[in-house]
Amino acid sequence: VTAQSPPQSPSPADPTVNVSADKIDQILAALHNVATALADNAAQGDGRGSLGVPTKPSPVQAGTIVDYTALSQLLGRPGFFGVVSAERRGNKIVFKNAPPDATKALVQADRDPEPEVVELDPPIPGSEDRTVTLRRIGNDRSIGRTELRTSDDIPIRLGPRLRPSP
Amino acid sequence: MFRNLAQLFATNQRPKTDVFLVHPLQLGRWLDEAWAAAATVPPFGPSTGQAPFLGSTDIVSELDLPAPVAGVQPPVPSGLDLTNPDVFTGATFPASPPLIWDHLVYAYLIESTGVFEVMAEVLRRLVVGETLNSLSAKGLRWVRATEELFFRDPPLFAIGGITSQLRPDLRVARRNAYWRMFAFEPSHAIPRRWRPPSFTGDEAWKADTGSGVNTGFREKWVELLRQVWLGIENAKNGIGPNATDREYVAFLCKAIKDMLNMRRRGGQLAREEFVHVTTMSWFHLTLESDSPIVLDLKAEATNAADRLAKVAQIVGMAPAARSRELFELSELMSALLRAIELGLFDSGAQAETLYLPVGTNAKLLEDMNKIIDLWQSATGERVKDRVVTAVSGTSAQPVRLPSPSPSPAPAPVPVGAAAGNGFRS
Repeated sequence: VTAQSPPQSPSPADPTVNVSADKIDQILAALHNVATALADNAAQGDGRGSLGVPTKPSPVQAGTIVDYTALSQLLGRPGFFGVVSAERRGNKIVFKNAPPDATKALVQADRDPEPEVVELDPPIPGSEDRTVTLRRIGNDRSIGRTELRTSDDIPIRLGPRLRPSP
Repeated sequence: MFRNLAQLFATNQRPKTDVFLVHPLQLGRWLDEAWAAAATVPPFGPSTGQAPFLGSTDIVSELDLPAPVAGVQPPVPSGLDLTNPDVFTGATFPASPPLIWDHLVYAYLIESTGVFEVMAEVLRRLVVGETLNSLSAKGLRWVRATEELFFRDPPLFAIGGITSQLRPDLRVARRNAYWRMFAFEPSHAIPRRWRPPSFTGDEAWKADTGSGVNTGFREKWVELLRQVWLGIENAKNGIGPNATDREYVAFLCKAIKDMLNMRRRGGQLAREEFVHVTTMSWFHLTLESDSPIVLDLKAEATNAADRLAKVAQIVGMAPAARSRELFELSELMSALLRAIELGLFDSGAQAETLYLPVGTNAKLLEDMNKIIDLWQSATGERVKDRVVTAVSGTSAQPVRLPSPSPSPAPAPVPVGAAAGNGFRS
């Protein structure tokens, strides 16, 4: 049995190999650009990335998603968290166990065309409840829709229908 | 509905089967309280200010008990305690957050498995003779509650009391509701033993429905699934031709919404839907785990369909051949149809969330994918294939937009396969 020596590595001085390596570099660079575009797909103003594929929901889509999540939770499906409990105290609404990324609330009175969007009051130490103080909606109005939202106006929880405050 | 209650027991570190240990009087009263609590369900979708999901802003409050004045207790509260099924608290059930009952399609799909007729035969044998195993104490409570809640006249003035001299049979009443809403019928006939004396075949539930039948539902539903699958296939297609048309998907959702809401005008079918989904959820919950009656019948298994097959075998019956798919599809299709009825997918941008990953809709995408797979498997309709037309070959969308107006009645095509479903084998 004759032992064969391993094949020689191409010499950097070989012009043929140099040309191929350049090509490979170009191909790799092009592939890298495609991969970067696919991976980053950075969001444009309309929520669509450089490839036209959305990377984050538009406000209307975020509303649909939180509504579907809340609906599924109220239907009793496990694993869905889209609802927050709330109660009315005077001109304040108390949201129980609000998620930490909630910074504002949308509150819409029945038959009111425009909702009131208000910042959450500062958190109470030791409590996960958050409150909002209503400015425009009076205590005598029924509230149809309440939403908790993130700082960039994405709805993340749907609150209950609330009767007028006693 | 009873599965919602079971979920609430589970959140209090109690087994879901505790529902079967609650006294039937309390369960009956709880149903009335659950109905009334629907008035606090938040409005979904773009039409804020509208009451939820039942076709009328007033239907819940029109049919519930009058609110007691200050200092007066409501009549016969359910007194349910989620930490102990043997306790009566004397209070009404807290309705925060409120519960939503499933869509009527849930009842249709569960009934199509054959579970109702199989369990009716089990119950009959248990109460008239000794052809089955003797029961444990917990099994006995299931038998008592099941017979009281679903096989006798409901208490007077209860929300569940939809039978009367005018519509004496609940089996016929259920088929009437399915027919009007979807033009669907369960694939199994009503067993001869349970046919009412004046039974006239399918005319019993089709007669006098007039034009109020959604005969075009199936066609539009399958087309929606096809279009959503097209969207899923092309979700990450950034460079090639993409036949997905989000506005067409939205049109289909709106057509289905309009069609279903036509049957709900003025709150029609709201109470019937509540009763039928409540009934089916009891039997679904019974088979969802190795519940006391399943253990007594020695029908333990790992899923509801296998338990049903074992129970059916004991009483000489056969369930639907695709009952596994029907059980799994029921919850998913119920949530989606509720969402469609509420107008959550009325615009192209909203409809995109059914098939395009936009960051926070992973659960919705997963639901859609499962619905397509399960519907295809349950019915044998090839949803994932493109429509082939004689003129242009493969076509992504038809020429005409969907219309909610009813088309001529087709021959009924049952969802469940299963000849012999519900019959003795």
